[in-house]
Parts: sequence; C-alpha cells; structure tokens
Amino acid sequence: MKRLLVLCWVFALSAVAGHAQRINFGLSAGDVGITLTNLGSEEGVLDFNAVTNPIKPGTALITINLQQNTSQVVPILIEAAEHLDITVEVVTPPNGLELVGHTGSGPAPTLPFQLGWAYWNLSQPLAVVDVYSVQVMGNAREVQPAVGANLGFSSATFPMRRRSDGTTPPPPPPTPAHGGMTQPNTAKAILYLYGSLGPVPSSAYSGQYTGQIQVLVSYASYE
Amino acid sequence: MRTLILLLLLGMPFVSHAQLDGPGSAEIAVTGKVIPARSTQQLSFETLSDVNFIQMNEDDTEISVDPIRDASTGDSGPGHIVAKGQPGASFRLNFSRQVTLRNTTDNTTVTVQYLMSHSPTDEQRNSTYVLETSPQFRLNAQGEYHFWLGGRLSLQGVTDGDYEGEFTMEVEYI
Repeated sequence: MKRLLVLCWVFALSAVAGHAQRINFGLSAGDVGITLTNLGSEEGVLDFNAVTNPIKPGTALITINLQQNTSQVVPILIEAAEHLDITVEVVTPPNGLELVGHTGSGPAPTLPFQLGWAYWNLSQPLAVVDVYSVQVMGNAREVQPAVGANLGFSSATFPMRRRSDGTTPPPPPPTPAHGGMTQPNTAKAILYLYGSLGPVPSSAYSGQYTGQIQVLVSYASYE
Repeated sequence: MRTLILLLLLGMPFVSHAQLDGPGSAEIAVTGKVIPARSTQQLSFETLSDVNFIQMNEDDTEISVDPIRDASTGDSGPGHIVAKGQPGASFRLNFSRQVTLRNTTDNTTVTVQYLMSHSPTDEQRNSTYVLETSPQFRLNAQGEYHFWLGGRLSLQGVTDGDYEGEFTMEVEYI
C-alpha cells in the first residue's frame, strides 16, 4: 500500500510540470466583433476599365497600384478591438477573371489577375480617417505588390493599432472581463486592394471578365 | 490526477470561444471588360444566298418563306447571311421587319414582313427565330454567326412582275 502511493505522486508532478511550461495569454475581445466596410468608389468594385478604357485584345498589363491610381484602389475599413492583433486572409479567383456568359464548349476563357494589397494601422483614437489621403495611403504597408513576382502572400497578421517602436514602454494589459466593465475601444485599420490584369492576349474573347476577392478577418490567436 | 484532467477539459472551451469571437468578412468584385479590336477585325456580313419569294402556284394568295423549315437552295427559300468578326465578340442586331418592294415595270408596290432565325453554327434546322427588338449575340470561336432570312407577303391585288427592295440589317459591337 505504501509503495503505490509514492508512484502516484511522481506521475502527478510530472503532468503538472509539463502543463506549466505552456503560457497562453489567450484573447480578451469581449463582445467586440470585427466589422468590414467597403469604402471604394466605382461601387466598391476593382474596375480595370477605370484606368484603361477601352481594353482590347492585345492590351499590355493593366495596373492599379497604391501610388498612381489612388482613386481606383478599393479601401476596406476594418473596425475591431484596438488592443488586439488581427489576421487578414484574402482569397483570389484561382484562375484569374472569367468571361461572363460563356456559352461555348470547354471552360470559360480567363484573363490573368494578380492581387496587390496593403494595410494601414496607424489610426489615433477619435481621429477621422481619410482613406484616400496621402498621409494614410503613403504609410500603408504593402503585403503583396500588384506587379512583379507573386509572393503568394494571402494572409497577414498585424495589430489593429500599430504599437510603439520599443523606445516607450508598452501599455498596460487590458482589463479582464468582469461585471459592469465597459467594452474595449475599437480602432480603425484600412485594407487596400488593387492589382494587375493581363496582359490581354490578342486572341482574347471580348466581353465582361469578373472574379471575386474574399476578405476574411479574425482576431489572431498565435496558437 | 483526476482533478488535473478535469481542469484541462474545462479550460479548452474558453480558449476556443475567444479565438472565434467576432470574425468579419467581405467580398469585392474585380472586373474588366474587353471589347473587340475593331481596327483589325471589323464586323461584316457575307451573304451566302439571297431570299427569294416565288409564287409556285397561280392560286397562291400568299408567299411564305420559313427561315428555319424551308431549305435554302439559292434559287428559292430563305437567304443565308453570316456575320464575321472578332471571335467571341458580342454584337447587337437590328433589321428591317417590314420592307416595301417596288415593281420594276409599273412601280406598284408590295409589302413584305421579314422573319429571321439565328444560330452560332451553320445549322439552319437548329436555329431559332429572332423575336426581340434589338437582340444580342456572340460570335463563335471562328468569329462567325449565322442568320437565315425569310418572311411573308400577300399577293392579293399584286400585279405580275419582278419586285425589288432593300432589306437593311445592322450590327454593332457591344
């Protein structure tokens, strides 16, 4: 009987030691959801005819980028808890843009499309954000350029509000949820979507080509 | 040991709940419209056969040419017209639904009600009537689209002879 008790103690201590090495800060978003709002002109559509019109067979690469086509870039406003990090995932049409209403045999003709995207997370509390201003667009961090090598970056994790550069101490941790507490403040971050279309082959079918970009935003877990 | 396992199981749902809190999503459309390179491939017509309205029997009071069912032989029957242009290009069609033909000898007239059928391929029997006012079509992979032209005219009060008139058919890229 005495030997059995000793063995049990050793086993339990081992389990406790292993669990203690894992430190999980978890998340404390309260009930603060994430809202996305399309603020783009052109009815929120990334429209390549807005920069090149008409587009004809044989047209070279058409680019909408952050520096030269500011009004054609589609900004997405993200509002979420200011003290948390978010993970943004963008899903693009895998085969490029497809011809609408294709009635011939075989798959619908496509045009190459490369998504470019960037984010801005320098909002200040209560400050109005002008998404098309040079101050905002110029400070956006590009994840994937519109042209050149497709780096394949389809997701990025960043703080809703960019933190200090290390020269100042970090802010205090958020107040844990408790009865009567007020909800955490929200911050605004901007996602910019742009890209390149083409080149359009000289044998390309004419018509409307279209595709859908899906943007998924969630709080980062670092799991 | 039993106590420890119980704590871990209770802890997991809370962590999962926090991770799933408040995700957001949005969908953005990307578009680009390609129009045909008109300078290199104009939209044009080629008439393979004319439409001919021929009175087969003296007792006939009406001549009718069906653009789908009547054979297009060249000497009689519906006309066959092929639109040619940029493969895959969309275009809009307008044509004269009613035309007055004039007798080349005595200048009397007769009115023809035209009827067309269409098909992306050269298959008259599988073509369908053009009933819309300004229908839209798309050239096939060879850059062609087929039309057959028929119609109907009344012979009552019409004098014998040859009649001529102009049938207008317009297409434009869209």
